[in-house]
Amino acid sequence: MRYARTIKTLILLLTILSVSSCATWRSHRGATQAASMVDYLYPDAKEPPAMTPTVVKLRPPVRVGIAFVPGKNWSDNFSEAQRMRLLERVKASFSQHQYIGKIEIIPSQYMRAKGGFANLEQVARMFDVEVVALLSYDQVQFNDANALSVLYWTVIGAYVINGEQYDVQTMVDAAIFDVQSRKLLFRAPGTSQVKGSASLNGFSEKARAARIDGYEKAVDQLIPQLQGQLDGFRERIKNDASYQVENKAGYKGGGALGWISVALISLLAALAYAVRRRT
Amino acid sequence: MQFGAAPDWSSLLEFDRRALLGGEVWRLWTGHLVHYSAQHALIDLATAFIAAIIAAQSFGALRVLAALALGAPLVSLGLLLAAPHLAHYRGASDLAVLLAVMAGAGLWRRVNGANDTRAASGRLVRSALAVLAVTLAVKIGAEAGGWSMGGSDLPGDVVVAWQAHLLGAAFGAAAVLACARCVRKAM
Repeated sequence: MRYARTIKTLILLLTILSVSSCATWRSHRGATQAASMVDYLYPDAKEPPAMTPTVVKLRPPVRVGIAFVPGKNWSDNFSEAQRMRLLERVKASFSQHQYIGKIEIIPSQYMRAKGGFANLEQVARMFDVEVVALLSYDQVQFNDANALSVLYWTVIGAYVINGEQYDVQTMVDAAIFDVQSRKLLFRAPGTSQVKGSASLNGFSEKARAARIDGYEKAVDQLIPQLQGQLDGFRERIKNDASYQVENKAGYKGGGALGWISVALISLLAALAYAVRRRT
Repeated sequence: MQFGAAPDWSSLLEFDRRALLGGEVWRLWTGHLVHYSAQHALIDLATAFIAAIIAAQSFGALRVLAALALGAPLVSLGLLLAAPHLAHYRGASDLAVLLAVMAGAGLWRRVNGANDTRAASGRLVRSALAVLAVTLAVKIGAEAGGWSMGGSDLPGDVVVAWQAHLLGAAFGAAAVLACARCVRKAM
């Protein structure tokens, strides 16, 4: 009898320990990844930047650079290759326009956190670009346990029951700056929400995939917005005196002969007349 | 003929790389018919007209017209390949060069083929034709180097597309060879 009570007590303790340890396996707080445009361009700014009226000179075909704004915790979840893939998609959306020349993808290593316009100008000079599309982001992941998580006490439930839920909300914002004048030309946002559930054991992997998916979907939404803003910007600058568009040499060509050709063809005509007379 | 005064029509007809690649194939021909200014059109078309008359005396009007009909799209296709940064193009100077090469080669053949006692004057004509050919080559070379003689009243943001002139000269030479073969076969 006494032996049975001891066994019962042990089982109870083991159960309590198992259930409580399930609760301590993973935090339900969630995670945040963010890179702020303002933090990058205006680090430690105590006063608003002075606004001086300038004329922005755009010389198509414009050379464009594309880069992510450096942020915190980014590299923990997102490899450089994945970042490049996202930038490649933005690049593809730009490259269909004839007034855009070469497009350079700027790797993250060249972007310094809180680098400001000084860093942006260095990078633009290095990559020989006139306009830079900066992509900032803000991603929040909420984690919750659902009712099924009560089955984790069976231990095997932690492997087969989808008792964990995630909700990943992402915003990617593209801001296009003229480097020389430091002027924001236009901007376009893209947002996404990815929800899902996973077992306790597979949660980290699924949540990481969801975070990457969140960026992909936000960029999916960003690209048509960016196209729309670009078209709007083209129309806007036609009537805006603060923008001046001058084509680069070679952009427009004319098959022009000039006065020297008039002289040459006159000589040819004289020769033709002479030949006609002698034959 | 469309000039700067009718920008909508000109834009619809000019060589526009993006529109061409998008399937607007008529621009292969019509890009040579529109110009940036009246003076531009006048010099190009007057030169082409005189060269066409001289070339027709040697090769016949039909062959000259055939050379123009084939040469125009070939020069445009050549520009698509040889001048990747050229987004827009207008002008008939490339066709004028094509016709001038045909005209010069035709005169050379006529002088060369003439069985007469006036060999000295023939040599003089051939020398003058050689000087003209060299001058044309130097002119195209200078344009490639960024030197332009002016006179065509081009807008400030338009540069002379020397590639078009080079292609015109090349297709003119090809047309002369093709015509010579036709004449030989006919004989």
